[in-house]
Amino acid sequence: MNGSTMTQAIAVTAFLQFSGLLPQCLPALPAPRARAVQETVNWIGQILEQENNITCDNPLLFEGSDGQFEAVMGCNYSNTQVGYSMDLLSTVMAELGRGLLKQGAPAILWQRLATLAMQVSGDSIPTKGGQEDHVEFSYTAAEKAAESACVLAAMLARCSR
Amino acid sequence: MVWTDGAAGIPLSQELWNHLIAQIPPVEKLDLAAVSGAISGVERGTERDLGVSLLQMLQEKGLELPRQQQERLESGWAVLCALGGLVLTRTDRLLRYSDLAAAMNLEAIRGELGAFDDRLHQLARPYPGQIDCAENIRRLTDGSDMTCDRGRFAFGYDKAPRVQDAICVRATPQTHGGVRDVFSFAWKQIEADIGEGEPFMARTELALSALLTALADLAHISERRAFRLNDTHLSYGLPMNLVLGGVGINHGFPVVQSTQAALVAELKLLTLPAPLLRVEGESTAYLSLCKTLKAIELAERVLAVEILMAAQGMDVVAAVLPQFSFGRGTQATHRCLRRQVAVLMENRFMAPDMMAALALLQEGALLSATEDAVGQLR
Repeated sequence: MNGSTMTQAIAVTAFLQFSGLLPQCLPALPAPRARAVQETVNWIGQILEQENNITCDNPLLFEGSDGQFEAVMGCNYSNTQVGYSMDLLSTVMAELGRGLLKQGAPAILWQRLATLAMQVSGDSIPTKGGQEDHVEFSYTAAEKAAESACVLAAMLARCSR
Repeated sequence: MVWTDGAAGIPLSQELWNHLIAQIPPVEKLDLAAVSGAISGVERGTERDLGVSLLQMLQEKGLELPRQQQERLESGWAVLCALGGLVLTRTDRLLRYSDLAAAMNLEAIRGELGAFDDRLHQLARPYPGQIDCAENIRRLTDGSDMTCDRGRFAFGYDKAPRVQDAICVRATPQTHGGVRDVFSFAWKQIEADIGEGEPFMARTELALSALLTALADLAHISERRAFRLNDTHLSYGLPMNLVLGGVGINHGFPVVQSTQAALVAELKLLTLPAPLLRVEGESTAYLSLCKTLKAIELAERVLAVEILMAAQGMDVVAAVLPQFSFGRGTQATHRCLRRQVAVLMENRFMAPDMMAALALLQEGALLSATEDAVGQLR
């Protein structure tokens, strides 16, 4: 299991937990925003579904007609799309959290959601002597989305209306 | 002219003007020169202020608009639609330029093309944007003698097979492709909001939040690729700072490259997502659209620097291997750039070079010269 497989596991877990909360959060939003959230969530779900059906090994071996295998090196473990979509999931949860504020959820929890919605996958810091010099921070984005889901659940539990 | 209340400072370019008048069918023939200065009162306006002053300006010129179109201007809706259209047009172009910059960089570092092998993308990670980016790079470098072992060994720095380049090079399909996938989603959402006349543009707000993050990443990876060109070790043998000729009074490209770092930092400031910015009951559509246009401009500047530096790197390689050829696409881009910007042989003021490269990019000249050689990019 390499890094991107781990990230995907966290992302899927976060998304499943979030999906259980979504139906309770949506009614607190005005109809156009609820629809925008639902469509965005559908897109995030498609990305995760796609990522469930890919390979992230490097290199990959391809069998030739002569029965020999050709090794092709690339960046198959780079799960950029998962990073972007997990950052977007945190953004969506900040949107839903705004709605829950009007239902009496504590502001401090929304402030935590807003902090978690700061974007990380657009950032990068070079590592390994410059050889791995663009990192997508998808792992952080997935961890962050998982934490957002916990905070969103806490907000729902503390709604008074 | 600059609209400062968009918090982004979007100049009223000819391109934006074209999108604006497309929203007001009777004035499609009016040109920018005829109205420039006439709407200077909107510098600090919202989309509504801008729409109203456009309407007043048109009425002063004796144009009477149907009631429905007047309302579209007064509500600011026509302005939002124009900005949405401009975001789509410019991002679409930017994505192709990012592939172009990466392909030129590959020529300069005599990069390994295995990472762009169709099988890795069609079979292993079949994201549509990733497949498209890899195909663009293969087409742009098609016919290149540099991006293979023959070119690498002849240049003399590589003594053994390269195996794989640094991540900012070989993750180009994944990163550019990821941005493309976000853009496809944003396109659908913006078109849906415009088509429905959804005044809050709630879909657009969320989709642009993701697009801004993706654009920051796109600028980041271009900055990393250009950074490597200044270092002999990281660029597989290009001279330090891309200095051609005598070192003494020739500093090369370190200052030019450092502007990319500043631009990327500025771009990342724009990525704070819409739900964090919204005042209750208001929409952030105007701000989000203006922010995205600003981000596109910054990313274009980053790519223009990569193209400028990669072209210099290509000149270094061509000087060592005059009998070897570049890819048909990269060769065409290089030739187009060199008609306006000369190779750097001794110190000169570099801002005009950077602005010339940016202008060639924004006017579409580099792209059309390239597409004339290899057909329309995806």
